[in-house]
Amino acid sequence: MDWGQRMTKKISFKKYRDGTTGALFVLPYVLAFLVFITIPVLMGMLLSLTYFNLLDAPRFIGLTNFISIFTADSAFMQQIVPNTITFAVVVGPVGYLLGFFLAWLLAQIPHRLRTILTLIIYSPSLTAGVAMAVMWRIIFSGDEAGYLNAILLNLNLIDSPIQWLANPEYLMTIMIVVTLWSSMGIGFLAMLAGVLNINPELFEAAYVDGMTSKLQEIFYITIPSMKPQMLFGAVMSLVATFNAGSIGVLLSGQNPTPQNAGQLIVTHIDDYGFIRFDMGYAAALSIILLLMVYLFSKVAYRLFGEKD
Amino acid sequence: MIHKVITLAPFLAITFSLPSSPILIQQSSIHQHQENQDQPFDISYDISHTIHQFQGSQQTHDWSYTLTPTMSQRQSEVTFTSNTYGYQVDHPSINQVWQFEHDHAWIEYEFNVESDILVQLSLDFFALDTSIRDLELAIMVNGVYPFEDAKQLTFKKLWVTPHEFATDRYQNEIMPKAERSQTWIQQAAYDSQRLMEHPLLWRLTPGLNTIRLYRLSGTFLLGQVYLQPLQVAPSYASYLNQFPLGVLQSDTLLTYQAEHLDSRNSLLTRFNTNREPMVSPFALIEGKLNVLDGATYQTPGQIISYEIEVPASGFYHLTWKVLQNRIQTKSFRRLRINGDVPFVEANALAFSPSRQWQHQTLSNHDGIPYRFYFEAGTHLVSLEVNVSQFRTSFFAIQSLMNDINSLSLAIKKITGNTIDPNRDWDLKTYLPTIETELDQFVTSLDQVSTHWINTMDANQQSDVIASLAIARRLLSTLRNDVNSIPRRIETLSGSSGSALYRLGIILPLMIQSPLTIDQFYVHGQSAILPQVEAGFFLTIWVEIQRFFASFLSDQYRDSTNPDELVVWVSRSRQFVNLMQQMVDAQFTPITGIPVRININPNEDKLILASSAGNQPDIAMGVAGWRPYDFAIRNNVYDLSTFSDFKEVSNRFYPGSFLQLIYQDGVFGLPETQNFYLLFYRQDIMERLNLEVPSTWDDVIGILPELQRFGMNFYSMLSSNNAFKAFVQTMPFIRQFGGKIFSDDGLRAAYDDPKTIEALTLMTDLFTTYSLPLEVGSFYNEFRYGRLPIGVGDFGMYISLLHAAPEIAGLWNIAPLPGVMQDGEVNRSFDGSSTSAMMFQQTKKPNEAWTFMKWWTSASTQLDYAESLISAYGPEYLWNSSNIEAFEEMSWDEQHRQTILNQWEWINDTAKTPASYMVERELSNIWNRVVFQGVNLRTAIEDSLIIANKEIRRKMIEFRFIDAQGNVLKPYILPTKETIDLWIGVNG
Repeated sequence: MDWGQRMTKKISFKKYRDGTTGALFVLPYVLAFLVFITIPVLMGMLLSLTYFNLLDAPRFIGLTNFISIFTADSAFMQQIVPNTITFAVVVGPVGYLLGFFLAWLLAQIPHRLRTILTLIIYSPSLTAGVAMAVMWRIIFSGDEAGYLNAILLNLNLIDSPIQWLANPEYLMTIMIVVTLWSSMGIGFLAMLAGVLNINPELFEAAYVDGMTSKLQEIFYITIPSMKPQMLFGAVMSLVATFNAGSIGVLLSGQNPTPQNAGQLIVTHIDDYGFIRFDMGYAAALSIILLLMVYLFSKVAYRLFGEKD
Repeated sequence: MIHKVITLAPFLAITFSLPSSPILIQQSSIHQHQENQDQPFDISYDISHTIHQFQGSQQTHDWSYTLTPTMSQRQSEVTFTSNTYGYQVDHPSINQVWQFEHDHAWIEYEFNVESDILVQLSLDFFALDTSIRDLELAIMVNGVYPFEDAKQLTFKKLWVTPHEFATDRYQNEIMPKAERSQTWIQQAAYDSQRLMEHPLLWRLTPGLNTIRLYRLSGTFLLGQVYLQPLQVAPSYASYLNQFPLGVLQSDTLLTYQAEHLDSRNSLLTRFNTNREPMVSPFALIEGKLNVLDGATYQTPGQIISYEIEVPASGFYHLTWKVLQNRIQTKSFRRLRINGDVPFVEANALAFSPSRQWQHQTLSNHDGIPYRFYFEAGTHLVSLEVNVSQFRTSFFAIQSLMNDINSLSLAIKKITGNTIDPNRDWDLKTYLPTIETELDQFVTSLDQVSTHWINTMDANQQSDVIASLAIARRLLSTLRNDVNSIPRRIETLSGSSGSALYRLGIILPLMIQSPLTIDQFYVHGQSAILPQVEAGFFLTIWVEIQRFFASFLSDQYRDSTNPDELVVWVSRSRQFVNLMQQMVDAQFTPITGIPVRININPNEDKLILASSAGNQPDIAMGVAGWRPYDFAIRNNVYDLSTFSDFKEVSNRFYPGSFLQLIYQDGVFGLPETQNFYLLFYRQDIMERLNLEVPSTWDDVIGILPELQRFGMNFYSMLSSNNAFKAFVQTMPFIRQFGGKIFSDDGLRAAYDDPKTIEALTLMTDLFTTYSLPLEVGSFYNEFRYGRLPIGVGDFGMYISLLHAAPEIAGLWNIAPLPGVMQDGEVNRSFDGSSTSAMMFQQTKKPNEAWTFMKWWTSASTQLDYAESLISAYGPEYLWNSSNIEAFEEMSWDEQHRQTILNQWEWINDTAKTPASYMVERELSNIWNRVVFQGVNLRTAIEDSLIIANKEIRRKMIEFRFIDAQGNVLKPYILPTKETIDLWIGVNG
């Protein structure tokens, strides 16, 4: 008893000490999180309730900004929200599935070749936006000298060059293609690591138990074993999708895109903040974007989160 | 394809018309060459033929015929002045001279000549203006220009600089400002490129002859004119015989620094800093101007002169400490002593290449040093860049390039611009001479490279020889399979890697002759020259010292001084460094205002800095529209409140102020100017027999012919930017006299009848007349010749000037096509430029204004422009907004005139708080009509609603109207007609 009491005392003391140490270890991150994430988000929320032209002091105007967003900004409701959702719905899940599929495919091949291919698939996501847009602008250039036009002309599929980036009809499709191409980022790497880390004994056991196809392997072992990575990949892909708005502007050359064809919330924010000098309005838009991202992340948690 | 073959015959009938402008001298030389196909090497101006005819006639070399000022019988627009600035000649009676100042000024002399003779012509002049441009004259003999070069002759002013250099804030020496030498100068008339080995020769016939001197530019006094036969220096042997009593000195050693010039005839020649330990003067950290920079001393005709003081009469050697590191290429200089070439060999003294500093004693081929005779006393030693021995090679390559281009055009005319790779051609049936032509190309390349190898002792490492070899290989490959040429036309004349391109690159190199000089010695036979290169250990030791000293140096310390005026400049480092140097050297010493200039890499930082209260006093190099955005939010200083603002604003064209105005105030000064110009390929337009269009109707007129050959016209709307900004759309609307804002500024006015007319043209050009909808790079398409004509801006001009060697001289510029309005072609354009603005929060508005005034003044702008070019090369053209400065800059004269003519039409777009919306909806109207076939009226109506909504929103925000649309205060929209309410207009 005596001994046991002392033991408990010792443990609680240790627990206390461990708590401080732990807090100290977490402190730098907490500070950074506060300074670079929490405070800016709170500031953004505050700004969204003001009229702020960047040069004069902000003036409190209540919910006016939100009211104009939903009632007066016809471009926002008619074009920008639909664009953003189209873009997100296509790029998010497709990019995510593609990431998983590629990761799984890569896991099936030998080590050296896998490393090389992984690098190749991963590298587009490292390329800076502008450099990337320059490359794609050459491919999609609207004259005979553009690669795509030249190929199609040579194959006699078209008889005059198509203005891929100036014509509103094509811009969104191209934005989606380019974004998919560069979407194999951190999420993809995490999923690759997830696939590779699955204990091979699981597969052996399953085959002994009568598993017959690769498809079963994926659904019954691979996916359940890598849920955390799947979740991480999903969230990363979501956030990246909503934030990847500038690609349309980079491709078409200037904000705004022609007839708002490739205008997403992110570019709309930029338009209001730095072209129209209406930072309060831009802040309100970014709050809406934040809510949308949050909502979609919740869905992702619902789908992939551990239930405990 | 058939129709293209039919047009072949008129195309081959090439006509050569002499260009009417004096600028086109190079072309004319080429034309003359082509008429003399049997003499591919003798293509200089035609008088060189006549020299041979006259050699051996009864001429002696010692006579001279002087035309005194009073001998002139006829004059126009000149004044006879007795203020001669101390003009003294042997002839005692000259106390009046002719002053040239006005346009169309000329004087004429008439005199009798006994026999048919060739003379060289020199004249005495005294430059009166302070302009950095050389004097330009044209000379007519017996009522005609005997050759093209006579239409533009340059006479170079002399420039002097102090031997003591001022230093900047870090003790680095600054290139001193050059002063025009206040002396009379005697100079002979040379060809404009200075490629001839002797002055131009003029033919006089027996009987009465007239010589008329026309002023083209410059203000000057003209003294006597001298006519004399070609002056030939004696041979070295006879030169030595002139001084039988001369003795070669033994150990005299006189050292002169190259940077202590007595005079130079080109402001491009500059000093530089070389940090090697043995270069004198040496400094560890600070930059001493201690060498004459070879990169600025390489153009034919550049002369530098030094005054030397010789203690005793006798023979001396001359040794130069030089660095000439262009591989396998010698540099050649002509030496003059007191203005005369001492002996014929001194016309082309060779400096051999080396990677290190070298002492090179002027010597003959066998390395035996020349002796130069100096009397005791002061002498003037001059060194002139002379590359006349490469003249024939230069012209041969130039004419070869022209021939290749013609051949390539001829082939393209047969095959069309889009070449079917699956089609076989029998090119010889269309162009029977093609094989012999290609053979000739190869032969003349061989001749040039043999000549080059022999003169330069060069091998394959030489840049010129390497390129010649590649061009030769490409041409002989094509020669061996003539029928493949249509498919491989890019090898012949494409814009990179082609034979034409290779030749275009080496062409300017052939007549460049760089030589960096540290110092020179006048010395006797046994004098011991100082060590030329530091040893290995000394070099390392100096570098170690330099490394540690850098920790203590102010140069690398970032200190701020609250008294300083802070200027943020959105330009690259070269521009900013030079600006700081000029401020330290010229502005701060006079005004006592210290200025610190910082680079601002991103203009958006200005907004962030302002909202944080960290803004500078002045921002420069910002986009022309930016001051307005700050102005409507009360962040920029209203410059019109300064009492002398109207005078200052006279320096610029009124049209460039339109976007800087908000209500009563003017919130910035234009700094640089953009131009929209029509660029066209002379060669192609000539072959297709097309006139350069002056209006958009003319453009539409030439389109069928262009498009027949797979070519097209590039308008600014064809750019690959989907968003069409005001600079692209507004020229059309302005030219039609249309507007985009209602007069009260509260509505968009796309439905103005004239604006609709303009929009109709803008869209018809694409929907009806098939202009290219999107072009990746006009510059490249222009070089390929696929778009031989189109609208480009200042950037295009620089690119073509410096990065399109294969079409050098084949293109030209013309004013922007316009719209005929009341008998005049309206060529309005939006010259959106960069501007300078002062922030409202500045604590030193008066100092800041003084600085802005100084910076935008003509003399500062001119100095800056010239310094940029001489410090960083000819690509650094400075397109100053200051009209006076621009007129004085050393640009190509004809181009300058075209640009100035176009500039008068500048009409920037005045802004309103919501003009961004008007701009983007204008772009959308065009986009919807062109890409989606929407009816123009429908597109306009839809856009009007969107734009008006935003205008209303912003007008409420800035309290011009209330929420019900009642006007609270009028919005004042400036136009070109009313701009005199804000600024002074006699610019």
